[in-house]
Amino acid sequence: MSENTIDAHPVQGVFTTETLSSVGFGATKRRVVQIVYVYAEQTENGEVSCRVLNEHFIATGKPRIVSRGDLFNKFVPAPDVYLNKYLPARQALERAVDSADQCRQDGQLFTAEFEYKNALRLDEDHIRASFGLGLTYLEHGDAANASMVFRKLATLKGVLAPEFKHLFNEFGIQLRKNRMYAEAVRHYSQAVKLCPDDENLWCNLARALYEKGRVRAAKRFLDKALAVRTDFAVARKFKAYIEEKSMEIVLDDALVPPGVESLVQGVPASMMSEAQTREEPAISVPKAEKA
Amino acid sequence: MSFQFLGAFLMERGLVTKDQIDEAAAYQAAANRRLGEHAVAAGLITPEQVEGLLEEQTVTDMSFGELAVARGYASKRGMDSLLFRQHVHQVHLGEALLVLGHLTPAAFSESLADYTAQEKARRSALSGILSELCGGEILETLVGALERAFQRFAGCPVKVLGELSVEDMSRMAHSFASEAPIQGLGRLRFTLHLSPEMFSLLTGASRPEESRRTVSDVPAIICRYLEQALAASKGVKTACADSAPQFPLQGGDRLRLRLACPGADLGLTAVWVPETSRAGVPAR
Repeated sequence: MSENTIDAHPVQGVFTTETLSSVGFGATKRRVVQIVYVYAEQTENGEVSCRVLNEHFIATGKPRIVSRGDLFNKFVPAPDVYLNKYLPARQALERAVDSADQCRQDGQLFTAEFEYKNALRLDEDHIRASFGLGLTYLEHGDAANASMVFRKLATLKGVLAPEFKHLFNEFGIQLRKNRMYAEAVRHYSQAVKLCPDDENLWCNLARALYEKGRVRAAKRFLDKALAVRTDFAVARKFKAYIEEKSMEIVLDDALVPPGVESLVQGVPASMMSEAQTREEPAISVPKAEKA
Repeated sequence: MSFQFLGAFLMERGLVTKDQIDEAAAYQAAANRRLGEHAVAAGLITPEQVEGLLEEQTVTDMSFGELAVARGYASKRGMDSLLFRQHVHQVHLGEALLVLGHLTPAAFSESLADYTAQEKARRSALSGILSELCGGEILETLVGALERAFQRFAGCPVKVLGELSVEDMSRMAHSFASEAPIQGLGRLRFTLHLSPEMFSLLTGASRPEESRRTVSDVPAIICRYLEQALAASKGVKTACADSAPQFPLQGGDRLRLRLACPGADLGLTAVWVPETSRAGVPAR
């Protein structure tokens, strides 16, 4: 195969190499040959991202970037492993997550948890399974385990890829509904750093902050949402709602002794519960969350 | 053993047999690994560091992961990833029964919902009992400290089942008394009463790090945990309504609780000794 032919076809497949290592000590010391498989995929800039295949033939761990030249010099293509091991394993894993998603949608939360964990045992970094497991915990109000999954998701790259965006938003909504406001704020804060041009993320961040009691910050981020899209009706309505509520609090403050409740510290608890019950019809924020 | 544990609850309902529960427990024991084992396998910390952290847990009321991060052995992010790995690979009793084919998902899901509701009621009842008592937060903290100590050093997830009867106590031949000073308010005297099964569990712990402790170390560990937890809290409420039962802020009253983990139980009795009682004037 000529160099030109190689360049014309982006690399994607399983490659293998043999490593020689020593095991044991003294008289029992011996050298063993280990076969290593990697899944290699060419990136847009021409480099190749390699991830080691685990014992289940699933690519795991952090990707290692190598040049095409290095890959072909040090590794040998293993198309049989790609076709007979890697692809079937990948398909089985995706089917298992599909089945878990279906169980979750049907309200079979225990079975869903079981299935998601089975999938994550094969691939710890599986984004859809991680979201699914976290959502399963949030759906039955298990904040401790949901928080652990949340921390894992924060370490995974690609959670904001288009195919996971609906899961990302659903997770944020569920965090907020479970009153895990700090996590919801961190969830959206991380997202707006990666996608500052997404007005829905700014709006959802504002909503999480508002429910956390940080009214000024919520308003500031609604302004950011409106800076991205000036005709964003949800953000406008939400901002108007906050301003109206703030005005009520200012008026109330004139009647209550100073120091009882402070607007600067956020919306008072009594006002918050009222705001939450009236918020849904008043500002239609769920539309922003689904966008 | 009490049906307040999941295995016994399922047996009570006729869904599984004792042999099946034992088989599932053995399956779990073979599959599940502690966080320290995961950390060593991942090359994050050394076996010596694990030993050191376990030793430190006898004086510091922190989880293994928190301690490893605090000592700079691992990053918080690294420890979070390990906790996730441990969680994902952890086999629970229900899963073991399913995998072994002793239960169907539908039957288990239904039972789990009932069991969860029962557990919620139990916790609420306990909280009710303790919150009615003046100074009940000290006792609640004591129970929490005991639960953590038994989990860490006996691998035994104890929980409060109810009041300790005289009959229960008569079975518990081994007693270990201790006393914890509480923020200059007084002292909490408590005694652990161990059933023969619990005594065997503590003395014959299967894990090396547990067997290093002698049974008599456990009350001292609980005392340290109690003191640290109270120091970390916002302070102990001492002002009580006159109508509230005067425990533990008046001497003489005694709390009696029965706790258990699957296969073994223990009793906890406690009495409050106010600081000024030596002079004959109870503190209020």
